[in-house]
Amino acid sequence: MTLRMRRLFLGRSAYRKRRLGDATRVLPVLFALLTLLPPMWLPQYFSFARGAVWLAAGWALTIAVTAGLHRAIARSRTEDEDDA
Amino acid sequence: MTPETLGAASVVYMALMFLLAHAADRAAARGRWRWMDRPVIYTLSLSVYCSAWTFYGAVGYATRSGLEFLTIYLGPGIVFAGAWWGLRRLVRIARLHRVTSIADLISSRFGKSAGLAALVTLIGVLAATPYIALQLQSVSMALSAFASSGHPLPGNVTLWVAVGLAAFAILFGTRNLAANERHHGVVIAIAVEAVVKLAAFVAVGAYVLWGIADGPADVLARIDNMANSPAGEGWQIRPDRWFTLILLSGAAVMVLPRMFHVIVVEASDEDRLRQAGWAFPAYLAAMSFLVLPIAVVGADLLPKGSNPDLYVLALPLSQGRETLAALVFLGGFSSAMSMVVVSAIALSTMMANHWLVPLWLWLRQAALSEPPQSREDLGALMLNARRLAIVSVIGAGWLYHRMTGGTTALAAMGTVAFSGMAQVLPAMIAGLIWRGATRRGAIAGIVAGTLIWAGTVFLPSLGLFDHPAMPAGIDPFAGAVLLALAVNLSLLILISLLDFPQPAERLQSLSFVHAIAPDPAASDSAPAAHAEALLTLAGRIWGNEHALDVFRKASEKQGKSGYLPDLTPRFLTEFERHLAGTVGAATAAALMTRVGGRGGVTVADLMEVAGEASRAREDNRRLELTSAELARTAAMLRESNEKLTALSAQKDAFLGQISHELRTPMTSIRAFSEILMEPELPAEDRARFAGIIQDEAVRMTRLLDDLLDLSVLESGRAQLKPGVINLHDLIDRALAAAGAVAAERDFSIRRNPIAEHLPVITDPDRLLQVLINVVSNARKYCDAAEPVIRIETRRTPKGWTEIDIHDNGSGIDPESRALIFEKFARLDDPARAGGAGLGLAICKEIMGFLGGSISYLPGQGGACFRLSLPSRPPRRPESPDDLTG
Repeated sequence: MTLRMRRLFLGRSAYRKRRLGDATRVLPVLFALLTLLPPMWLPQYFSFARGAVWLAAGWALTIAVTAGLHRAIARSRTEDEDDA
Repeated sequence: MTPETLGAASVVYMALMFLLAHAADRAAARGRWRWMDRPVIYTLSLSVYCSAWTFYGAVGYATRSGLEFLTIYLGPGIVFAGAWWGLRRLVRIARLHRVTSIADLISSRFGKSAGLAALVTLIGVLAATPYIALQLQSVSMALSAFASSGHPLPGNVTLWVAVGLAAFAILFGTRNLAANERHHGVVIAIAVEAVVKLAAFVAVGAYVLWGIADGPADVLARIDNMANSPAGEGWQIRPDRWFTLILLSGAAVMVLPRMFHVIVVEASDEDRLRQAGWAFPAYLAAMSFLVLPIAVVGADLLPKGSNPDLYVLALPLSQGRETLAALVFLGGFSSAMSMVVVSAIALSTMMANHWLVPLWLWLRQAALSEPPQSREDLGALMLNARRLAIVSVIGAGWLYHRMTGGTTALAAMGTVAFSGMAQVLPAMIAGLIWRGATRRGAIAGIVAGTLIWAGTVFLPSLGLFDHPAMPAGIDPFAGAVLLALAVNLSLLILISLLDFPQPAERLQSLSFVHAIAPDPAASDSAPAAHAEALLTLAGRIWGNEHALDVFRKASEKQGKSGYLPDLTPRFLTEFERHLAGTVGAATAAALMTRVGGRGGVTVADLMEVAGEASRAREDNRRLELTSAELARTAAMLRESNEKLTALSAQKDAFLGQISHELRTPMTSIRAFSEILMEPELPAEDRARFAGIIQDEAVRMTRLLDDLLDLSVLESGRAQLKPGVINLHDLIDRALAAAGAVAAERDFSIRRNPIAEHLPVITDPDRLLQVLINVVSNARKYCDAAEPVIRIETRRTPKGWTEIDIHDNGSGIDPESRALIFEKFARLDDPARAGGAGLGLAICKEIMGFLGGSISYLPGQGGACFRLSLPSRPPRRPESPDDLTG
């Protein structure tokens, strides 16, 4: 059994990778808020074309950001093994 | 285009999928599957989420309820946006524990509970039956769109679709009992189908968007016009439904058996989520936003009263685009086919592992570890259980379709299935993030949630009950689902807080929550005699070859040779997990208890783990690595030392014996030659004595020949005389030559003459020598009352030839097995064997000389020797002088 201790301070690239990991945690929360709150708050406003455009734009943006984040994570893979 | 043409087209299409899956399976079996193990294949396979419900139903859903249909895709979109920390963790833990299904995951987390696994399986089957019925219905519904009036469809279309899909699932889903539940052929087929359905949907969407309507702006204007039409009321977003459906679809993408199967079980590593994390939402977004133009344009153009679920076909047909409509039909057929096949495979694994096999184990209390006298094959039993399950799952879907006559709105059945499976979500999430969640809490939550769901959602959907009365302003469906989930979660938390779980469960919870390998804490290593029982069990599940391979590797890892590793806690834990990869965690644990004599974990074991974990872990780990290395070396040294000591004792004995063997003929030769010197010896006595002298000389020469043969082989100076021979003829000759040994006993020889006709390139004389020796040994030492010798031959995929020679005697003691291939070794008294103990040593040298090996296979219910030969003998440098003669 290996419950590993996390290092307290990291070098630049490992630090960057941790923050990328944080970003992947925030992203779904933001996307969930974006899809849930406006339509539930102002249903009459978001039920038709405006809602469709809002959701399409929000989703496309989320997909693009996810793709970018995942690429960045792949590039910084080699550095830090302690981030499990 | 008539329904008959389309029916024929779908038959051809399905045949192509059969061929593709078959080719992929074959390539995978030969180890050539790198090209299909790409992330893009994985991403495409996830599209089983888009079943026929998406393909036809989403347009109908959008026509009736507006943007609400998007919730079904937004939920997975949210889940996949967090794929890198959420799903990746799920995949990692599931792979760590070799989880085979969602039921197995829940059961494994909560102390390998068989009851919990059976319960989750029940929910899965309940929820999936109407969902599968829906897919079958969609095919006949789509065909009916092509039928001209007064030209009815053949009545049993759905039956034939069901039969074809069941055949596909059985052929490619239950081909063999893999130690990890991956099906390459099926995955490739559904990846190709994903492309077909995307292409079809994009084609019809683009045609409607630009061919019929006037581009996106026009479609948006038409959407806004809906607000003023009578249908506009249904388009108003209802916040309670909006929230509930996003929650449900987000849950469904993880817990639906088919989704869990493609996301987790078919994943070869967690890294592919990096691509799937954005590519799968992109796929979903493309499919779902194209629904809107089809829905609004269909509502505008098509006559009132036409079925909105069929707009996707009716629109191109109304414009005379028959080819496009046919492509759309194939796309819809693809989505139904991939959903049904993957669901059936996932559910059949669950039903077989969590219902049928435990039932069978309970019915049969006989010890599983006995040598396979009846040659009963557990592996085949499990595969048949899965086949039976596939037939019953798809059959139940078909029956459901027949009995209800099909529902009018496809969407309703889909949400019913989602809300049922979602009852598993609280237990799954809590199990992964909270160590305090317990088995009793999970069972209480799931049972209560499922009962509420059945009473307020499932049964009303069948028309058996009325929808429950909710306070005004709350949607009955959303209210019922939220209530069920709330009760489920509260019970889970409350009972877990009050509960004190079993130690085994606490170990599992630690392992799941921290995503670390399960600890080999059980300090109860079973007695060594059980290693063979475990091997026998493994052989009956995976087949002998795979089991022997696993045991050999484990034994190598411990620094030992042969097939029987030490039963260390680590090995036992790993073995159990390996087994769980085939039969599920609960069944694997039950089998281990039964066969391995392995008791449960005690609280003291747990305390030991906790104490250890709290020490400076980093140092510990380094020390562990070093000591593991040392232990390996020590094990190796110990083994060689034991061997050396035993050998040295045997060598002394042998030297004494060989001197004795040489001296006896020498003495008689000397004595008789002295007598021969007497001048007045009668002529017949002289001849008799000379004869004795000659016999003794021959005996000495034979002994010296053996010794010389061995030394030539050992020094590598022997010369190879390769030739091509038929193995069958060689075995015939060996049996004939060995027939003189123990000729008074009646041996029955079991052979498979057809399999034996294998051409082999090797040195025939040398191989014959080995065969004769092994067969003679079997005749000599087999102590069964009715002796049977069984010879099996086969060619491995790598081109090696294997010859197994079994007998049904008592076999060779474990402690003697290490020595039988050594020179000077002979297992019992010399009088019975009548040789100098060089036979197997010479065999071993000859097999090495031919580039192959000879080994003893334990756990076969008697002595069994395996000869392995390479496809051609190794090349040797020409020796300058021939010393073999």
